[in-house]
Amino acid sequence: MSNDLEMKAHVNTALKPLDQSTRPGLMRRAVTSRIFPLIIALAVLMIFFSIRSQYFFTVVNALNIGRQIAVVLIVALGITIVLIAGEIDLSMAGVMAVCSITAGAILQKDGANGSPINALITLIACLGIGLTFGLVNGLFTVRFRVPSFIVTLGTLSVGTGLALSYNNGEPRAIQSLAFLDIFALGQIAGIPSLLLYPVIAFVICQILLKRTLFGVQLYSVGGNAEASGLAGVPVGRVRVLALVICSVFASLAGVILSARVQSGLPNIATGIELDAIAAAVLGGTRLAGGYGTIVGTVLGAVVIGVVSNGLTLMGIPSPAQSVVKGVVIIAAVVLDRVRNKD
Amino acid sequence: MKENPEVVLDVRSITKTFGPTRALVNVSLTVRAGEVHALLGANGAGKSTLIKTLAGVYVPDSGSIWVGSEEVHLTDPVQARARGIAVIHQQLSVISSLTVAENFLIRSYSAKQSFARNSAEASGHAQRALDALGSTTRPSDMVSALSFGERQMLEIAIAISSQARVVIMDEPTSGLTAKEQGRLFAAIRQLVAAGVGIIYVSHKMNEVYEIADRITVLRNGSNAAEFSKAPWDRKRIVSSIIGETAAEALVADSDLVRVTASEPVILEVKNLVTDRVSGVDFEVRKGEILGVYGVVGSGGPQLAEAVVGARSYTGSIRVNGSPAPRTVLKARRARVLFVPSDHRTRGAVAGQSIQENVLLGRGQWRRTAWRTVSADLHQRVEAAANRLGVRRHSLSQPISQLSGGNQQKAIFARATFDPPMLLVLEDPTQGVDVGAKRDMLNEIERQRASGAAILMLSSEVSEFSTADRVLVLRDGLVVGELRRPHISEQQILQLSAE
Repeated sequence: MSNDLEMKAHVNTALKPLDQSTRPGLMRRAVTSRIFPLIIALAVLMIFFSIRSQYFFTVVNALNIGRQIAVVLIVALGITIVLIAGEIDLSMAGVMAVCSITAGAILQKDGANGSPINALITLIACLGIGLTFGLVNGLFTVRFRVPSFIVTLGTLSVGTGLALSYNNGEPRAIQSLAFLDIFALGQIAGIPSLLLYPVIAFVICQILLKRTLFGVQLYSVGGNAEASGLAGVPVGRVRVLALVICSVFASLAGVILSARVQSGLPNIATGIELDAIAAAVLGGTRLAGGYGTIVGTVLGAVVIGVVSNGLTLMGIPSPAQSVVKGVVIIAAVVLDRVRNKD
Repeated sequence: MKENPEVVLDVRSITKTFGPTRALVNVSLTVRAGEVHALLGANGAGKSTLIKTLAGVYVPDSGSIWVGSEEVHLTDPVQARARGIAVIHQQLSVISSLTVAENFLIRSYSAKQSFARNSAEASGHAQRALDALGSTTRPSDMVSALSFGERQMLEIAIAISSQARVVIMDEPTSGLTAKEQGRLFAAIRQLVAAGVGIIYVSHKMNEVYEIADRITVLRNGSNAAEFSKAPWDRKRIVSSIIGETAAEALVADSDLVRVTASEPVILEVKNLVTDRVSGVDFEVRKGEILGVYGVVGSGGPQLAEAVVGARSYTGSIRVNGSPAPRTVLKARRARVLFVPSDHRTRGAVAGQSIQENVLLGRGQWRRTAWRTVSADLHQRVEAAANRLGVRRHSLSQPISQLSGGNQQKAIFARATFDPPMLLVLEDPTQGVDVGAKRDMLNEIERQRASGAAILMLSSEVSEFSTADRVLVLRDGLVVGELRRPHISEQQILQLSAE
């Protein structure tokens, strides 16, 4: 319980003024914080991989890890918000598939240089697709009281199905340099653009959760939906907004991933929901709702990214990596549960 | 056995701490065969910790527990049950998706004894135990089809069939009808006659005086006093619970008759029909407290939910002359506030702080999109918490760390944070100790005096000590109305039972 206290103190920084007398020191808060073991684990992993591979602890490799986790991190941030609300979203791969196909279709006629206008149109169209998916997920979950697990399982299937039926499921190469530059390969203000979008997503989430009324209500709805409703919290609206944010983030991830692989692919992100949920849970988000932090999810994604990168550098084949990743995730959650009993 | 009753349970000087909190300090308790031993205490006095320790949920730091002549070390609930200690919690643990016999099967056999589902044998067990209690429940009944009282009787039957020597009952009468309560007491007397020791935990003093042979009072985690029957020194019992001599404040000033007829009507309900409510009319004026009594199943909770916008209905509800808002959100904006029953599950958001719980549902996306709580607002939350006497370290403490009564006070602070026009209270002081009850009654009176109309619904007669009028609901209809100074518990019960 006392760890929850620390965690909430951490989450609710904006709810200050905390009584000065009871406010624990920064050091104490860091050590008792829920994500502290994750930070330690990350440090240990980094030391270990640094010893095993000279290449690991370099700027180039750090950027590499960043590129590898960029897309899944955006999706994971979205799912974190949904999980805090006590719901779940499995439809992200479906959203991303439709977005990727749409990007391929819109940019089809663009030449090798491409036009930034078309790139922007692609982005807007895809965000619209995300919005639509989110609203559909929200509508069925809230209005018709279908569990979000079922609804989003359905829309996942619908999304991938739609993407596969367009153009017979054939992938379409994206040549527009403008598009590829803006969303993956280029640099914006000296920062690789691929790394910029997760940062933007992170900032949006932090503001939403820590600074807005929606943020408090998100935690309260996830923590106790009935009590929140009876107190006058617009429970339905909070849930719909959470699902919409998640789908919109997924559509952004779809655009970025299409640029990264330079094509419109229907099966572009199959299984990404599992990686995203793993990152969130690793970062301390509870599947039952009411608890979770954005910083935790970022750390969760980084740990997973570091593990697969380090293992690759050590020459460990991908199937074995998968095994290690699975063990790391379960171990981390066990550790978290042991530390924060009940 | 009556002459020299054997001690079935002996708790010797147990201490239990949680971090810096000392929940139990050298607490002792003896239960003899064939006695009902009431365990009383304010919220946070340590009753729940003691029960959980006896149930094997907590392991004490020091001290010992003896069952009969044997010292026991209870490290998990299965062990406690095997040693003959059965606990009947407020939240019953029968499983509603199984039949009665299946519940017997899973509870009275341990995995070691039998993997085979011997249904016939379990049915026999169930039938015998239920018959012994005079229950009409059959082994083949689905638990989901049973009433709360029948489920509770089932729990007791399971305890009997597992040869319990001590049965601990935690607030057993909450949620029972008067008839069911009678049956429960008959069952308790049967258990006692068979030599079982009962620990009876309740806040309802009248019940305790009726059923108990001895009383142990806990205060701040220690033994405060022990009393023996006949005659009960009621005044000393109550003051030992609250630890002060201010018990008189609770007694209703029932001779005072307030004249509110000239005040404006705040709530007007006409021909209201919703689930379990079949056509109800009444009105509440400014500065008036209207009580609505109904046993469980009479439609009280549904009526409350309709008024606060949490349930759809037909008929008319008008607040201050205009049609009542149809959502809780809009009702709040119209200054209609609600304190739901069962504050742990329907009131408090466990993971959030006291401050967040007090402010929950306040503010709108459009107007106050930012969650930052200004120093001024923080001060107001502080003041509200002080006014209600919410005992706390700080407002940023999670509400789940508070005792039940203090949580309920925080939920009250939520409803009265901005002066309400209509305050709807459902079982406002149920399950809280005398001190917390006084704090909340004072708050109700403050709100009434400053012009709120108050609608108070409960299935507990004792809740209406401050009401100006009491309506009695039966099967979704108003079957009677009592006015001060002619409100008495007997009359209310009589009206509801006819």
